[in-house]
Amino acid sequence: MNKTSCQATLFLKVICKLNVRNVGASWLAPKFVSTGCGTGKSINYCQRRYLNSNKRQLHTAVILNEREKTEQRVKVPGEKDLSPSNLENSATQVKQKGKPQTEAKVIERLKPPKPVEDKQESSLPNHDPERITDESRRLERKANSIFQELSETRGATKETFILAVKKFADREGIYWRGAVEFIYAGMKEMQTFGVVKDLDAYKALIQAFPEGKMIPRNAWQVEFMHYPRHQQCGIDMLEQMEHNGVIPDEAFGVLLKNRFGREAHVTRKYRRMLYWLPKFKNINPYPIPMELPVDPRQLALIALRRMSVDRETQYTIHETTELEAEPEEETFIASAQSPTQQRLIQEHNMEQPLFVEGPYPVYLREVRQNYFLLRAEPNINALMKKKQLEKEEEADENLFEWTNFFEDEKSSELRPLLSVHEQDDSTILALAITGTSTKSSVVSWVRCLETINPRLSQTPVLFKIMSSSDSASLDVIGDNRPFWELQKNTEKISDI
Amino acid sequence: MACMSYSRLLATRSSNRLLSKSLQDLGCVIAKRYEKSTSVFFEKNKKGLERDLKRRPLRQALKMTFQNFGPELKLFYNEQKEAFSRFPMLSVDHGNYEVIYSFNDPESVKSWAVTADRDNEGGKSTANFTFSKNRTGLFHGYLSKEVPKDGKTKYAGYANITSPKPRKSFGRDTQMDWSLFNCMLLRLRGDGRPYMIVIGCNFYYDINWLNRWSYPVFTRGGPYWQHVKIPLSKFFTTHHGRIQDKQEFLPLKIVNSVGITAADSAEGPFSLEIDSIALMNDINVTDKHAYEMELGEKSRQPAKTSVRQPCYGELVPPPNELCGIPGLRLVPDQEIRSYIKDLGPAALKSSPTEAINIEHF
Repeated sequence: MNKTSCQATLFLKVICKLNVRNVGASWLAPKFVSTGCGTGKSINYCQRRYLNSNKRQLHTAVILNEREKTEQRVKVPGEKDLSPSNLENSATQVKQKGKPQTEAKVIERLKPPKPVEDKQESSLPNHDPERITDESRRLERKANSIFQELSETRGATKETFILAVKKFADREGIYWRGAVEFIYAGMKEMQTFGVVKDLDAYKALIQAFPEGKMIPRNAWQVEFMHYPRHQQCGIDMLEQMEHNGVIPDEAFGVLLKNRFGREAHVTRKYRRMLYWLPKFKNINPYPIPMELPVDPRQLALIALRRMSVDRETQYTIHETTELEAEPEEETFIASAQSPTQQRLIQEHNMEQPLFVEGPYPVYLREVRQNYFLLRAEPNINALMKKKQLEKEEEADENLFEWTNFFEDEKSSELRPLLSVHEQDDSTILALAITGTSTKSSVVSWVRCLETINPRLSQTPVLFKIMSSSDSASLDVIGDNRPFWELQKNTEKISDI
Repeated sequence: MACMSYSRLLATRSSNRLLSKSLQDLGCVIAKRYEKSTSVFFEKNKKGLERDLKRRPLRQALKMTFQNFGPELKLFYNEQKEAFSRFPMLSVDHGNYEVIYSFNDPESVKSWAVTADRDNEGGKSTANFTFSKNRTGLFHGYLSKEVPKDGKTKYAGYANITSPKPRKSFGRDTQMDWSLFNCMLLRLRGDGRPYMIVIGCNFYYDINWLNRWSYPVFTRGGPYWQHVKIPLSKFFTTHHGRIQDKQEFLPLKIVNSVGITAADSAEGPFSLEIDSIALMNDINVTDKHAYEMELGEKSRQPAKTSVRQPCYGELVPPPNELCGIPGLRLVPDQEIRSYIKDLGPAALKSSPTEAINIEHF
């Protein structure tokens, strides 16, 4: 390296340290590059330690200079230095000096590193692929190794997860290098450890951030997102909590405030969650237990209980092995039928067929089950009668027939005319969820119903079973067209 | 020294050039920033899309204008006639309702817009809204949680139906006036998933365009019809789908659209059968907005009472007087309760709860 290039690098260093506009550097950079090349020793700025932090400035400088060169060729006629003839001259000068190829090489080397394309899916958010550099991938691998190592030796449990965070904190306790990568890795790893819905795990994970260092000291820092990557990481973590229905508590807030301060964006998000989530925690009028049972029988019972409107409904669980001597498959049948429905079957005209339909999907949060129903055609006459009564009430015909204190009220007057099961599209007689949702299990369900409802064995039962429940969504339950037509006809008659 | 001054001169000159020439590049950088930022309130269109909406070609637009001029003029005449002849509705009695959307004919179902995240390349969910044989609308499809690898999307899986925007003659935007009512009634039959009801309004300024008021409706699944009643005060303000710290009243006079969104955590087929959507006036509901208007507001604390007042949305056992009716729960308004007590069982006789179950939550 000759004297001039040494001076130049020193000068460049000073400029970079002083944080002069990178435009200045842009002017300087190619000169040094070319002179450096002239000596035969190429300077690789990237490998220089002290230039590492200002690497990007150099890249931009080089790129900008290249761009300027191309643009200068098109216009800027006024300036002498940059007129096309001068440029050509300078180009020829470079050529005379020789080795333009090396120059191109160096420029190529100075380009910013390409985004890493790894086959393994990264846990880092890919909002900005350029942010995922080699260094961050290395730190991520390091974080992953901590989790893997511990889960292999101690098993993937909650304790191991918390221990992994402790291990990270012990190892990186001074500089907290790779905290963001560790937390992103941990957020992904939570699935395998089974702690996605565990607040303690999140409390442990947030402690991978250092205390006190990232607290903003003035309003500007607050508004311009002090430590943006760390805050974004924290926000992503809170979002994952929100997504999994984990509500943070005061202790979590203390941990967060010790790390990001009271007013930071993360803490604001936390405050919002603490305000809104408990408000909406219990708004479901048909509550589902927070932790669903694993046993499919229990799940089926919960779903049936949720579906059945009638409070008198009796729920039974049968095993096919108990019901039949030679069952086709070993499953369970959860059945729901109320005394009212049994009465409806008793009153049903035996010549009219009953229908068994399904499978229709029903959800308990993420758990999907399929149910079958036994139904009859709607009882049109009773429905019409009710409709007429309603109309009469609306018309206020019995305006002067008040009940007074001296009259006894008959209990039958208060009784509803129709039960909840008699809807205008169908009369629902029983509900069931079977373990396998196959036709054979449904047939044995009907056989099992026959023991309670003796008239059922004499009525024809039609099975309408769809091959896959995905197509079930295309079809609605029942059919209210006959009732609709009758209603329309009667209206016409009354109009005449 | 001379060297320094010269370099400085060059630096300034080139900086000028940077500003004048690569303004477009700078713009790119800024736009990129904005895309990620959460604090941007500029909206390109009312749908909140980044791209421009498609416009009809001029020739087609002209053609349509001439074709529709006659019918539109007729509509305009009818509007004017109605405006002069009809007496405005001033009040609504307790319990009165008005059906705003009923799905008993194929046209009314067809007029609703169906969207799923597949349409915006944000996922793989599909949705459809069809007219069923029960003379109801059936909102069904498949919710897929698969996130597309575009680097931006984090979660996927939503489907939505939205009512058509009300229009006056000559395609002028108009709005509905709901100010006489305070409850929304829905008759539906679902599959156990929660669905979100979204109310949109006709705002003028772009800052408000994406404000929506939403509240979930929970279905129980199964073959039984549900009658759901939601006080309009319970709808909370959202912007871009995010709940807002600064809550605003639902502007009942400029309501524009009603939508139903399916976007819960379960992957799989969904189906929701909707019969009708109605508005009702209930004198028991006195609240204007069920939440604090600003996060952390202290002035609006509830009056101190010996009995613990239930929180909004909290499940509470029904008051003793009404235990006989399953599922009916009234807002514990002292006046109304004593009123019902005085009337005795005769007051309960006329309640419409015999064959249906009304949920008041």
